[in-house]
Amino acid sequence: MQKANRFLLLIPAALGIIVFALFPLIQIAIPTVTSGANPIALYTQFLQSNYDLQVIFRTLTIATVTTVITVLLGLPTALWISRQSVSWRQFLSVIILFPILTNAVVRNFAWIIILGKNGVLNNMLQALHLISAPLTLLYTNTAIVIGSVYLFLPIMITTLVDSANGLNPEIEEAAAVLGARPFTILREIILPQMAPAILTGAILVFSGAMTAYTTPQLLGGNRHLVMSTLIYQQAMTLGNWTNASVVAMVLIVLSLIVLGLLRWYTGRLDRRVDHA
Amino acid sequence: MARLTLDSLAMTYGHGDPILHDLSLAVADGQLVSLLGPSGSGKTTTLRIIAGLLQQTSGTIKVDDEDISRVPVYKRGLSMVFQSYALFPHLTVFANVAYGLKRQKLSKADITAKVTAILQTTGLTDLAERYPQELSGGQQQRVALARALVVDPRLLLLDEPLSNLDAKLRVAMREEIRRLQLQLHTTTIFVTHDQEECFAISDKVAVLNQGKIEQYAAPEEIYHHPQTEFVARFIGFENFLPVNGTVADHAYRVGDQTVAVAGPTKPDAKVLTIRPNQIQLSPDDQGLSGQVTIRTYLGSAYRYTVDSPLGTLQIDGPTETPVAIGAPLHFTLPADQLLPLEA
Repeated sequence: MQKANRFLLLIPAALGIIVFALFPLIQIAIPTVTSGANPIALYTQFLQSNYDLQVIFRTLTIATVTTVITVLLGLPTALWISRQSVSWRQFLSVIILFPILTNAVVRNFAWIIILGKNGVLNNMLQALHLISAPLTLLYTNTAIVIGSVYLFLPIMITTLVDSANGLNPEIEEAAAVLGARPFTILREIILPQMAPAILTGAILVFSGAMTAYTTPQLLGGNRHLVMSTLIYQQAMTLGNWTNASVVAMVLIVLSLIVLGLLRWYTGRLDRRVDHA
Repeated sequence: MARLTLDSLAMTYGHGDPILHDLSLAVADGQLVSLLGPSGSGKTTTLRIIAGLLQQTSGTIKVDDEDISRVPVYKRGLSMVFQSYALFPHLTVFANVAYGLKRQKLSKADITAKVTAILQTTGLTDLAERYPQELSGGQQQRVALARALVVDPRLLLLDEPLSNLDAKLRVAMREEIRRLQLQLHTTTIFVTHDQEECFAISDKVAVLNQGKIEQYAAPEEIYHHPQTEFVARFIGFENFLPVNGTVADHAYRVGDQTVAVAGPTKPDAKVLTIRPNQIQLSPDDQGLSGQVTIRTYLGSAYRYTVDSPLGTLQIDGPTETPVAIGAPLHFTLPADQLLPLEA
């Protein structure tokens, strides 16, 4: 096929991206420069406010902790699943994806019931006499992390299972014959081979947790705002669309920086595995 | 550099049929012994039990006088080359080869010296900084071999290492394996289903069938004197004539025919066997006569499937004088080529 024709084939997709992704993005940016105020002042004002910095910090922390926990829980699960028989493996993969099939609001209400003052968990702990007064679990950062882990763990596991299924068991056996004990094999042979998948999973979970709205809204409440809930509050409660746009722009830029770093590192690993 | 002794190895998975029955084998120091057999014969299972990747149900494995039957795989001090080569994809050629030495906690200087030397021996020096994905199949094979040999193993185990290579490379690689094995005097067990491959490089061959050794002998001995019908079939004997009695001490009864053999007859013989190229075509009206039903061209000869008074026979004939399908073919069975088998 001729070169010009090949570019013609790109037009539908390119139009889709411009109309549905780029155009809204520009629309978000526009209020921050057309509001009459000095746009740079709008951003510096936001980044100098202690309250807003706290929200940024909370957002990044929750996304990071969620990512780390999903990796720590997802890896052993994925390795275990990949070592089951094929039919059992398929069954488990469906089970893993099950939470994704329920509505996000419903899922978070389940956590409200579990974590509330008179919730399932507090009642259980009190019944066992492990605590005397109910713990404050709901409307905390911890609650948001728990909800986010629950939300994103299936994505992490699915990504890692794909990678773990592709591992050649003879490679692990080769290491064993050469003197590697099981834990050494995990550290030196399995993890390095799965590193690209771990990073892919981390990118998916981190960007999801950074921008998730329902979970922090329902489990964090108004005292634990993250950037997405702050945007909503600015725009819908306070009617301050300019500030909402500023927060949105900062969120986009922060996400891009972190994802860029992860992608850059993945690229270094890919070169090793895929051949330059 | 060690002797290997397998004594009454048996292996059963769960409640299934046994994979190995009572398998015993002695391999002398510095020898290359092949385990030859079709898939499912238990040859790879045997190799994996020796390596410690599988635990036998019963029986013992000794290297020299040390019983390693219950020693975990990572303490056995053996080396293995896998069918898929199993190179570490995240490590360079150098680091792949160095892996076993690193696990033995050798000093950096020693590791570098040994790896450099083996890369030289295997002709991989220029590829040291490449990753496995950047190598051809033959090069990957050499890395796998270097990685296995650099640790100076007591035993080298090869699991069908040539089956993923193309025909020409396979011949070159098997000679390379033999050269290195002789040079380093490493006792080697070589698993294969290819008889030509194993005859070419082995000191001795153990032919396996359904978890048992049918015959364990030098390649020449197996080629000329297979002891069982299974071994004979596996190494290219195509004609098996059922014997139903002897005629004096010089002939057997096959159907209603009498077939003369050289040497005294064995009363226990059950079949007579002969290779297609050992049957001689004879001029018309001499010897036995049969009718050609199938003719295939082998390049060096025509192979005829012939309906004869002795049953259906495979007979090779010269390409200069082809015999048409349906035409009669006259042949004789040379008495000194017929081999009586007892089982």
